[in-house]
Formats: sequence, C-alpha cells, structure tokens
Amino acid sequence: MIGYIIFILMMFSLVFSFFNGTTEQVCLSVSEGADNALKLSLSLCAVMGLWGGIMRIAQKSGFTALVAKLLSPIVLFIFKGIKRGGEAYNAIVMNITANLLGLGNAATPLGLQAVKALEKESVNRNRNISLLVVINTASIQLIPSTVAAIRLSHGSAHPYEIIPAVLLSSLVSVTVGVILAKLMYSRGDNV
Amino acid sequence: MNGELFAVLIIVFICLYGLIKKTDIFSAFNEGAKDNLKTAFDIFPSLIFLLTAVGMLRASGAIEAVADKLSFLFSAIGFPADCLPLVLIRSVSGSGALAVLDDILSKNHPDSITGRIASVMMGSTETTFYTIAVYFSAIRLKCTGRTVIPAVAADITGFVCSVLFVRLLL
Repeated sequence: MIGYIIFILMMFSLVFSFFNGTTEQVCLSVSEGADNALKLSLSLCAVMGLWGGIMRIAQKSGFTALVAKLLSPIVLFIFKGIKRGGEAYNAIVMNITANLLGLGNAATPLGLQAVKALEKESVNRNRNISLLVVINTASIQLIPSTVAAIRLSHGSAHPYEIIPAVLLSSLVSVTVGVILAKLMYSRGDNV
Repeated sequence: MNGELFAVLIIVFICLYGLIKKTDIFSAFNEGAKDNLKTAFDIFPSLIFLLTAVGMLRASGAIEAVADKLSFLFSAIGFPADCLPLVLIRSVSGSGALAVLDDILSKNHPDSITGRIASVMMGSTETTFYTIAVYFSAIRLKCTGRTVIPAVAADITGFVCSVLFVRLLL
C-alpha cells in the first residue's frame, strides 16, 4: 500500500515538474530527502528517548496501574456488559492507559488481547469491539512526543505549547467516535 | 493551561512517584529510553524513502498549485491550504504523515498558525485505516460500517477541532 503511494508521489512530481518547469528543483530535492530524514530522526531519538525513559519509570513504579484504576469508571461506563476484573476488562483498561501514556509498543498487543477477549463475551460483543477499535483509531495521548520532536527540529521556541489544543481536540473527537459507535448499535440488534 | 509546564510537571511527578515507591528511576529511565531509541532508529529507513518522495512533491510545485486553486475555498473556512496533504495521508500511513508534517514545518515555522494547526492535527488523530486493519485481522468478526463510520467521523472531528482550537487557544 505505502509502496504504491510513494511511487505515485514520485512519478506525479516528476511529470508535474515537466509542465511546471520545476524539473531542476525536483532533481535537486532527491539529495535533500535523505538529509532531512537524518535530521528528523535525530530529533525523534532525543525526544522519544526522554519520554520512553519517563514512561518506563511510570510503569516500574506502579504509576501506570494507578492511572488504570482512575480510568475504570469511564471504561465501565463506555463498555456495557463487561465484568470488572475480567479478562476483557483488564486488557481494555491497560490498552487505554498505554495509549494515554504514549506507550505505543505496549498499546497494540494489549488492544489485540482485548478484542480477542471481547470476541468471547456474549453480551454486546460486536458493539464493544467496535467501541474499542474506534477508541484506538482516535488518538488519546497525554504527551504528543513525536510531534514535539518534529517541532523542535524545525526550531520551535515552544515545542509543547500545542498540548492543550491537542488534548481538547482528541477529547472531542474520541467522544464523537464513541457516541456514533453507540448509536450504530442502538436499534437493539447488538449481539 | 501551559503545555510546557504540563510536560515538566508530568516528568517531575512521575520521577517523584517512582522515588516514593522505591523504584530505581535511573535504570528504569535508561531501559525505556533505549527501547524508544530503537523505535526511532527502526523508522529511519522508511523516513529516508518517504521524505525523498515528499521532498520531490514539494519541489515540483504541485502542492502550491493545488493550494492556490483551492485557497478561496479554504480561506473562507479558515483552513490553511498547506495542511491539505496531511489530512489526505494521516489516516492511511503514520510514517507518511510524519514525513508530510516535517515538510509542512520546513515551509511554515512551527510556531506559525499553519505550523501549529498541522502539529495539532498530527497529535490529535491516528492512522485510522491501519489500526482498523490490524485489529480486525486478529479476530474472526468482519469489519463493517458500524466501526468505520464512527472512526472516520472521529478523524474529521479531530481535523476540524485542530483548526478551531488553535485559533481559539493559541
């Protein structure tokens, strides 16, 4: 998929440049791409390294478990019919916590564990699976560290200033997603 | 709320919590940082490829041409035309979106309105279609519109809110 996108971008750029008279710029840009990638990766290493370290402290000290406990009423409110302390419940809570704290590597395996557990449930199965997937397709990250890294590499004076807007925007979009998903299954045919 | 202060408070609070709970915060930090460095290093090769393609697109002048043609429409709703490529690629490819954001921020200063809107868009949305594919490949249930429609609606809401909240808050 992404291979096709890259090829189409390159081919389109080249053909477009013939008509636009920018072929020389396109040729010059080829040598810059890799250089830009290196600069970007260095900033990513720095900022992601910092947050990876901090969030590992959060995991080891039990802070993550504390956040999971705080999330529990919200999870039970959104996912109707799951048992507190059950397999599906635990995986969902840990998946959402991992997303919130930006533990990308941990979030996906936990999410997969959660959908598999939800598939075994008998109450509201399809609806709860949809809800979990929708929540995972909406970003709910406390610290947008990758974005901060890119902003830093381009000389932003305040790489983290976007946090309030990101959090509000995420909150509104995840709420819209959850409400719509619930509406989709509101006609009583929710297995 | 100040974003920088929020980030610093989280760092300090987590370290304090770790010390109270008698965690070896120094070795925990090193471990976690090392893991993330590996992740950053892992996406480096794909970034080379993607940034080359996106750089070619930028150099061809196609983005400006489309933005110029549509600017009357976009300026009416307060949407910066430069963010259009990000909206198009965001839900399909995460590293592709990273490359496009990098390109947008090299043309617009990250602290400008356009730079901020692009940053908030990237931070408040996800690689929706990729995520849906991964989750539904793990179970027997078929993916239907009942999942896709809310997910896409959430994305669109995220893009609209990004423009709105940057203009209102920052």
